[in-house]
Amino acid sequence: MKQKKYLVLLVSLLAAVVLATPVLGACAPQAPAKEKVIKIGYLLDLTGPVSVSLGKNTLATWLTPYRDLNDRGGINGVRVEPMWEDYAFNVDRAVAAYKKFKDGGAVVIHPITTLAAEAIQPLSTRDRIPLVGNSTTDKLVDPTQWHYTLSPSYTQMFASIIKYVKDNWKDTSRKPRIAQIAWDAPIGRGHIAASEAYAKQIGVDLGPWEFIPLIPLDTTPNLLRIKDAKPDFVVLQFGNNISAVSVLRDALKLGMLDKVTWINGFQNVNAAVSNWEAIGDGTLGISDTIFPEETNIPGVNALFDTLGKYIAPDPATKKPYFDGTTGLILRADLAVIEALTRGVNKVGFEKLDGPAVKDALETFKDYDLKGLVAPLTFGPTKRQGQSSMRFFQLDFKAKQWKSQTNWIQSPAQYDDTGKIAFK
Amino acid sequence: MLPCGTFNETYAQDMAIVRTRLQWGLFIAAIIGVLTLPLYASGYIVSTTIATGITLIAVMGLAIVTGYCGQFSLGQAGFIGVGAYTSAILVSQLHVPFLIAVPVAGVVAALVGLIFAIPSLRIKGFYLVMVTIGAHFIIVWTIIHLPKLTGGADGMVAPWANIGGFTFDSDTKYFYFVIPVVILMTFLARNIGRTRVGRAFVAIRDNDLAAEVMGINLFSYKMLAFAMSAFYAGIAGALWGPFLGRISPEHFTLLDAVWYLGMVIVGGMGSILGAVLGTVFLRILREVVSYLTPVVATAFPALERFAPATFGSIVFALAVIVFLIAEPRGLSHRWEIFKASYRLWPFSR
Amino acid sequence: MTTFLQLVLSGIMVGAIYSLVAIGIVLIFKSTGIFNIAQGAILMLGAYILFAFLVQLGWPLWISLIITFFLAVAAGYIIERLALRPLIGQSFLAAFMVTLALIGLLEGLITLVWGTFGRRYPEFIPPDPIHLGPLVLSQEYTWSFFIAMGLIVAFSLFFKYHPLGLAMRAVAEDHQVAQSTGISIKTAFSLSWVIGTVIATVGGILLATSAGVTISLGTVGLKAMPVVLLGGLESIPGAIVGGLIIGVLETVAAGYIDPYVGGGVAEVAPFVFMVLILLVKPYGLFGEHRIERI
Repeated sequence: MKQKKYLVLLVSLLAAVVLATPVLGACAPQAPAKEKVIKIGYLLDLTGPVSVSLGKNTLATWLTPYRDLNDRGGINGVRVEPMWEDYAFNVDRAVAAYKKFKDGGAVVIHPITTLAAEAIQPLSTRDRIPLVGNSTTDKLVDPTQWHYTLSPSYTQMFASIIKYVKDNWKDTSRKPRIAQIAWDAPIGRGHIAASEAYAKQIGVDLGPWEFIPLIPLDTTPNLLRIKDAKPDFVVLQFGNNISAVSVLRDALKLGMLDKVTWINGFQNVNAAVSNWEAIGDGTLGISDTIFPEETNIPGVNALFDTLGKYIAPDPATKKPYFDGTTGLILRADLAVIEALTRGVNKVGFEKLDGPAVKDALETFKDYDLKGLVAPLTFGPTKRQGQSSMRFFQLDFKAKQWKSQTNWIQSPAQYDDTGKIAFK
Repeated sequence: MLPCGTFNETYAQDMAIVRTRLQWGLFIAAIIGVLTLPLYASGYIVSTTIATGITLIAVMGLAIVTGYCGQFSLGQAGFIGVGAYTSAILVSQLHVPFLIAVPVAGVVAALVGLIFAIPSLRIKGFYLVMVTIGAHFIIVWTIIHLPKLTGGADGMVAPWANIGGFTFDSDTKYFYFVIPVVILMTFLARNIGRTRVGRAFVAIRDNDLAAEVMGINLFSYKMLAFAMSAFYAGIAGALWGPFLGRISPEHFTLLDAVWYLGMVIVGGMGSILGAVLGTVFLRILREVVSYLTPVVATAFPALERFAPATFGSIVFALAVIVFLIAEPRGLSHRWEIFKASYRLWPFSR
Repeated sequence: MTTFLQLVLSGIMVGAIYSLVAIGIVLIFKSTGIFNIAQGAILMLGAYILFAFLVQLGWPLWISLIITFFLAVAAGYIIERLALRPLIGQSFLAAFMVTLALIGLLEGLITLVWGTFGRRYPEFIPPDPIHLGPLVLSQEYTWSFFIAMGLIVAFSLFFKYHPLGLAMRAVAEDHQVAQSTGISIKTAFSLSWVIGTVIATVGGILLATSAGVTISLGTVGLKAMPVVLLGGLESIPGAIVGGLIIGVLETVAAGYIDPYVGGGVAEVAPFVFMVLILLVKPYGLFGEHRIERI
């Protein structure tokens, strides 16, 4: 009767889980009852494919701004409590998590990836709960929807790259050419049509556009085609920088590593530098984030002050660890806190709901997060707070991205109907 | 086995699904219990019930082609995608009423299913599984590469369901559209198994050569089984769109298709009851596990960020493995044993 | 012409990796009748174990490799002993489902121990390519090619001549019949899982040297499925030939068709090709034709 043994095991396993839940729940520090609490939702990738690029950052780091706020007395004595959920880069789980937040009374939700933001955008608009995050696609700046973003989109990123290349091009005998090698996913495809229109307008050749799978085994065919087209710049557009290293290794093999200038897209730059190999040294990168090394920026020092209270320092740097991706997440936290503060000050705690937070967000006018991001402006028809980026260069020995330019506003801008237009 | 004192005197009695008074009582109570759910349950439970119901339709389709007819299919997620996109395109671009778009989505999915069913005459077992995996990738690839029609990799808006001017724009409203459809589809699936067609399916499953010798046209019945299964998937897809508001290729993954098959296996092959039990069991298990994650994280703040979330998926996988070892024939088998021993009590020990 | 030859060469090298994954699946299927869908996850486990010793503990390469393979043997045995042995004699479906759940379990355990970060090994296979006239080859793939070739010879001989290999084939044919001739099914099961795990580990290490150690590594297991089916579920030479065909097909299709259809052909080409081949040869290129009786 071996099977019976397993049945007993199964039942006891499930029973243990069910019993453990309330016990663990009781261990957790409970907020005193009757306290004034604002709930917000926090949709995270703790596991799943995208979590690779989130590196060594911890959940505690991401939630620190709220913890610090509550310890400093909250917003006029009102605590802010983030409900968080791991959705493992799965649409169904993102939607399920969203419904939990809605039930829990969240007044604003912070989805950290584009997939999550796009999945819950129609639902949040219907249920009148604003979303604030760093994801931007052409759909996510639609003024009829309730999604607010702090970041430029990939279309704007690519337009900035085109402009940067054009501005720095000295050879008058021919036009520069930019190729792209990307994941076969929206991250690599969404911006192509608009970029081609803009490139034609200002006189830059684009293409070929090459696509590789998430785990690239061999990118030789793609690189051979790029090599045939003789581009001057190649954009590496992936969700994590491991794929970029694989591509560069294949490029070394084909002898084209030094023939072109490699430009890394947002995600390659934001992800942990420790994933890079020497091969990536000197490649350019474009991003709208900030790095912990940039202590000349007041916002970075303020972040370290806040994080230092709660997060144990990294043995190597003697400072709390965070990287580019977390820089984005933390600044969105700060923007959410500011919106909640304005909302509470305007309508009071009792009346603070989704629409009130939306109204508060729309009062943002050139709001400065101490240099963590270009000044933010939202409005009834403006869903994108800013669209400035900087160019960086990878210094592999120092394990950091060194900034090459100041904040540059993208030549591509979304108008009042959410359509993209080029200056 | 029938309960004591229940005898079949007419053909109608022999065929009845619900027969004793107690069963009628339980049946009606269950229907009322489900339909009044939004009155007392939280919004999250209502929403989860809708999602489970839609999944259930797709899994029942799989139970027909795999459970009854013995043809393994991992293309179900792809067929759901076909249904979802068909319905969304019909409603948003051609302005077809939603009530018509749903069955049309089912029919289109069934037609696509037929194309991939053709190899099933020659190909069997795991080789057929591969063909259906091929179907999945080919469908998803096609969706991504028809951007004019489908919005490509970015996905497209699926309008909220609208019938005669009434918009189902909240979960509670949509609940009352989805649940009757689920009940109807369950009723149909349960009865297909008891018709001539269903018996032919079972004969093919048990031994296809013997079935052919008995005069069953293998090709047309296998095609029919695939078409029915894809039809169910298409209906499920058409219901997904208005639940989410937007669909994209990322909604339809191969892993989902594999887990649909998993639900059939965990529930027990060859019965619709199994499909229902398997779907509900795995869904509840997942909900329990996802509830655990924040609890563990709050109780042990020192853990790294991924540990609590991972803990959930480990418990889920372990429970499934242990369950399969304990009961390889599925939940419905266990239920039959329980029923028999309940009816024979006190002689069943 | 050079482009074409380069594509074919790259394809052969990629195909060798697919073959390594496929051999493991075929081996387990051949001797236990279980289709192990978790081969990709097992491969990933192997890659991470080496990572632990080589990078995290900083031990020398050869010691790390020995320990990794020792642990792979242990892992294969444990998986078989705890999860699959209780299912001997049960429907193959339940066993398939268990291997499916194994994916979740192994990915979960790997994440728990190593986290979700992506990393890389220090380079122990030199990154410098080998030049063959105008053509270039990477050393990692050359290694995997020869290892795959070595394994095919070894296992073909093993299954043809060695008593244990013959016993494993008998077990695959019919559990009861095999048992009645005095073959220990349990030994055959354990052995095939251990060998399957070790092969997966070889594949995982070679793959990770070029693609990095990440938790998405397991998706390669999915790519190996058309290879297995194309070659035939029971055929080890089939796994090799299938791997090479699919590898070449992918790169050549990506090279010549991609520009016309907007990319991504490499993802579907193997499946389209596999469906077409199966229509003509329903048991794959080298699979066993079952004679069916009523």
